[in-house]
Amino acid sequence: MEVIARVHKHKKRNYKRYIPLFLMMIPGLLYLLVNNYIPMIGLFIAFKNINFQLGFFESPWAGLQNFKYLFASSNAFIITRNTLLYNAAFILINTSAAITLAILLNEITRKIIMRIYQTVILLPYLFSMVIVSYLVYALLSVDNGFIDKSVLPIFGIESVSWYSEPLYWVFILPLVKLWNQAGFLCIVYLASIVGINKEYYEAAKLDGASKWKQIQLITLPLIKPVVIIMVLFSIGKIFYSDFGLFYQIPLNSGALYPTTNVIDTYVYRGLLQLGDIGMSSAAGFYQSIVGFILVLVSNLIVKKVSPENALF
Amino acid sequence: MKKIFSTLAVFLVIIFAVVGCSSTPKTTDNGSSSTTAAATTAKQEAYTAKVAWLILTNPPADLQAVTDEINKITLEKINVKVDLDPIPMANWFTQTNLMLSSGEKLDLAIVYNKDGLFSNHVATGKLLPIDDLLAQHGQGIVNAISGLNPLYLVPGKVSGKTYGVTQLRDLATTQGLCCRKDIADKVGLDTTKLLSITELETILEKVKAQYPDIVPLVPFNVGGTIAGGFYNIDKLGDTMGVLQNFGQDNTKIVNYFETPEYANLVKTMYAWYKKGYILADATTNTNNGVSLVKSGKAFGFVSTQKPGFANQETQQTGFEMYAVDMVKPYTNTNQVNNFLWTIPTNCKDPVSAMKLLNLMYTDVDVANLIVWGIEGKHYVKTAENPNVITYPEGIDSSNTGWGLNLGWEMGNQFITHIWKGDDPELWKQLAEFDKSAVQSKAMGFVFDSSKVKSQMTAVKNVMDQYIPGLEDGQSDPEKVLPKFISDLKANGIDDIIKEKQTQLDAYIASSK
Amino acid sequence: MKDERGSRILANIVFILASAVCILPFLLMISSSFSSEKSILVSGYSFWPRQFSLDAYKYLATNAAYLGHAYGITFFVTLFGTAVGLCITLMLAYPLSRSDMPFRNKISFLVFFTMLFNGGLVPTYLLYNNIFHIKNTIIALLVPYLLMNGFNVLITRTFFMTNIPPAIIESAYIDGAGELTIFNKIILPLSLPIIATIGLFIGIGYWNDWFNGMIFINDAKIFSIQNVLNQMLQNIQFMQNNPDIGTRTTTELPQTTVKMAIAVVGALPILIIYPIFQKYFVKGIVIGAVKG
Repeated sequence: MEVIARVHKHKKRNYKRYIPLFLMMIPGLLYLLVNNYIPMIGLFIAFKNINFQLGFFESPWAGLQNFKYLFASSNAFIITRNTLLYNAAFILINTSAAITLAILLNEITRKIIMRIYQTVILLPYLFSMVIVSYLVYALLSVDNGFIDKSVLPIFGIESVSWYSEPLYWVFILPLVKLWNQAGFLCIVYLASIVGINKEYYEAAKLDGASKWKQIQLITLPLIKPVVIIMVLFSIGKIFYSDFGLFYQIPLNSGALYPTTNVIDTYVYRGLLQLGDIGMSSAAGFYQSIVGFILVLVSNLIVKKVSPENALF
Repeated sequence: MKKIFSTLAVFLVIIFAVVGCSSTPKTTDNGSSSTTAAATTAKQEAYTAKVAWLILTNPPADLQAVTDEINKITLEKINVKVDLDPIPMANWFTQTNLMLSSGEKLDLAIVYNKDGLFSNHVATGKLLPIDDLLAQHGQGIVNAISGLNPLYLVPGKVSGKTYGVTQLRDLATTQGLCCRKDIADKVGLDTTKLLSITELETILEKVKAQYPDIVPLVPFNVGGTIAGGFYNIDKLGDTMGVLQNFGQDNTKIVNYFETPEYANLVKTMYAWYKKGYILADATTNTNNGVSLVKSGKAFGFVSTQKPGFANQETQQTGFEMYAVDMVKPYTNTNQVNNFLWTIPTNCKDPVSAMKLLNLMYTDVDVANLIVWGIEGKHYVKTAENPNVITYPEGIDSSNTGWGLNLGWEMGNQFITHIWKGDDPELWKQLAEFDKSAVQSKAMGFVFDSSKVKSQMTAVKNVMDQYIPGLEDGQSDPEKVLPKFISDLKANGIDDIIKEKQTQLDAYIASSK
Repeated sequence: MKDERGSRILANIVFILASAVCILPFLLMISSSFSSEKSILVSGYSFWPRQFSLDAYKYLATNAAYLGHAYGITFFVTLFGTAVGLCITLMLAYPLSRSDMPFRNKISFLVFFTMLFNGGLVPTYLLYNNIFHIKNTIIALLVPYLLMNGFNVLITRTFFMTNIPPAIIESAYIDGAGELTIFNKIILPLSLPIIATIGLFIGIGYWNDWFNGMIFINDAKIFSIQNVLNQMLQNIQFMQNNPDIGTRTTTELPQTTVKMAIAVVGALPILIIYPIFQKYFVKGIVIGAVKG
């Protein structure tokens, strides 16, 4: 009788109970409304030919004209290819590296040492790409870079003109990105690994499982949710690039465009010349739509494979 | 601690509500209408004109003081107060583009016409046409500029209407070699006549032989090329289709990169590179010619020049420098319209704005204030020549409150004082220089790029890709130049040239 | 046992290498900031200054008051912004983590959607400037973009979902506690790890931001340190690229070393503060693991 009465009471209180929770969410939702949603109304700029003497609302519609330049040239293929391939590489390399690092870090028993390592590998993430570009220049500059002046001579190799040869950057950029991001990702995954119940490992050890088997059967499956969310999110952003990485690090060098030009940098360079907000809105719109579709698709796939890990 | 979370959150909601609902604009901190505005009597309320221009240093500490001084004069003469808004280079394009795009209050603005931005602003209606305003309230400006050459007013026009005016500065230019005097004397450089490219090659060879540790020739700008100093063309804004010899022979627009002159130029660069006459790291070098000479690493550079250049470079490098011309002075649209004063569409009182601009060009006191600052505080007159000024006691470049040094940008520096160290006759020399220059036949022609927007973006990317290697001598022209040309064609350079020629012909016909 | 030791040794080797790779570039940077310009131009960068010189820092010292003020602004913005941003993020993420929360999925979607779509720079600028009038106020450094984002909210939500057993909440509720009390007295104490992590993310975002200052601020009194550094770099860059727009204020302008010194100055506070903050951060993770 008591139990039923309690349940009955709960049902009545149901929505009232959640009012404080709804109130809690208001500041956050309000912020999203203002900062993110209201500006979306401005997306229509992509479809107009804005003339300021007429104002935003009177300016003529331009249909898909602003999107033309994204596809019109031979460059379109190159920049799309670069954007996609680099992002795919980043996701693969950085995720696996971060997971590996997190697992290894978990093996370190002395807390002080672990803390030191963690501090150090996160360091590169804390700095802006401008600073990183100077670090890279300190290493790769032909005239006075550390590599050319101090390292290569040891092997008897002549100076390499790093900033003139596009091919090197296919390796340099992922390296820089890894250096920058691995520590950060490692922390995210480590937080997840650390939360795994130690008893599982005890039981596995008693059963005679090797370290590697333990990782395979316990660690990896249990951090799947976090990994999936991170990867899904990266896929959603696959048409966006880290602008600082592709613009600053190669020092905006024209000779490297075949392997360093991505959609974001292409648009930025074109815009600095033409100052056209219609075209930049079009590029942003294109990136968003494609990314959105990609996330929906990948979410659907994940739902089929392991439903509990899907985002929505 | 937990209570703090909730309290802060509520606080934030309140802030948003207050800010969101308020419709009164917040007054900014820098130099806006002070309380004395209300003190003006039966006169109409003074208009506050916001003036934006590009600065290359930190924002000056004495902005308010100078503003007040200027206001004393402008209130009296034209019932206008100024709100000075100097914008550092780092923020320049972003902030000005945003201000122009968002209807923000802006009355007078410099347009730094990089890569055709000026015509783009006009095409998107961001600037007001000012012909009538100039005629009625800006005659001082018109007279000052036409005094040099009426053609200097033309580059501020688009489709026959004026949208911007240039400043009194080095509006023409020459090109030449600027190099260390001590080495030049040793290798026998003749500074009395125009230097030809073959003579230059001989000089470089001698320098290399006698001074093996010094790089003979380096680029002048970071991001500029060595060959860029030798161009002898009117770039017509963007080098996508140019007029050779400034159109003196004919007005046919050509693809410069296809011409035999360009092929020869890059072949020479390649040869010089192999012989070690030019900087190995030129394409990615981040040190400009001045600092390379200063550090003792380089002999000289080829660059654009003007009266007083040798003096200027001597001061900058610490070595005494020669500046030897390689061509006669010339001018083209870009020399003139790279910086223009304009009145944005957002301006609510263009008449007041024009009156203010006119004062900047004609009023000696206003001009000196805005260029040099306040007498006694930022500069003092020298005993020898009251027109020559220098720092007051105890002030130098590190602690001055107005060390902008941007006289060339502010309108009419020819009516202002001369800083100690420059030739006292500098303004006269510059005026003569401007008057005597060869005017390109395409003077005033500004290309309207709207029909070929996407081709221009694509071609620019191609140019950025090939030009550094070719013009710094690192790419072999035999292999690379043909690829460059075919890539240009594949990305539409011929469309651009055709469109340009049509417009140029129409322009020349209509201006007869 | 051998297994344990083997993996531990491997881990140590890997991390010693990784640490070296992370630190060495900074050594290059710091050392070159203390070198003379000539030595860099002639013999290149090195891990120890070949020719010791304080010229670069002397140049920066001429701007000392300006830099100091900018530091103050940055500190204030970072601390205040992180505090407020944390609050909002936590308060949005927690309800979304409750499986019994009505409309939870729809609202989560709304949050996630913002990570994919944005309106672009101009509409955002119009909104903040023309409607809220934040240009040249400190709010411009605090509010746009950085205060909260969908990514942080979702990470926090995941943390709550995996680390807070619903049973605790239910039993507290049954005992008569209201939702707010539960949040304050139960959830928050358990959330120290995520508070540390998200606080770190938000804080770094604020510290490194130069974008907001670039588009909204022109008043030198409100520049953050990144704005100031960015401007110094750009000014030097512009004067290098356009030396024909000659100025006279360039007395001794060491370029490479000044850039490095500027970078050091911008990075220094992080280098100092982060290791200290890290202590609590790691503690938090450990506590979280044990309790979970």
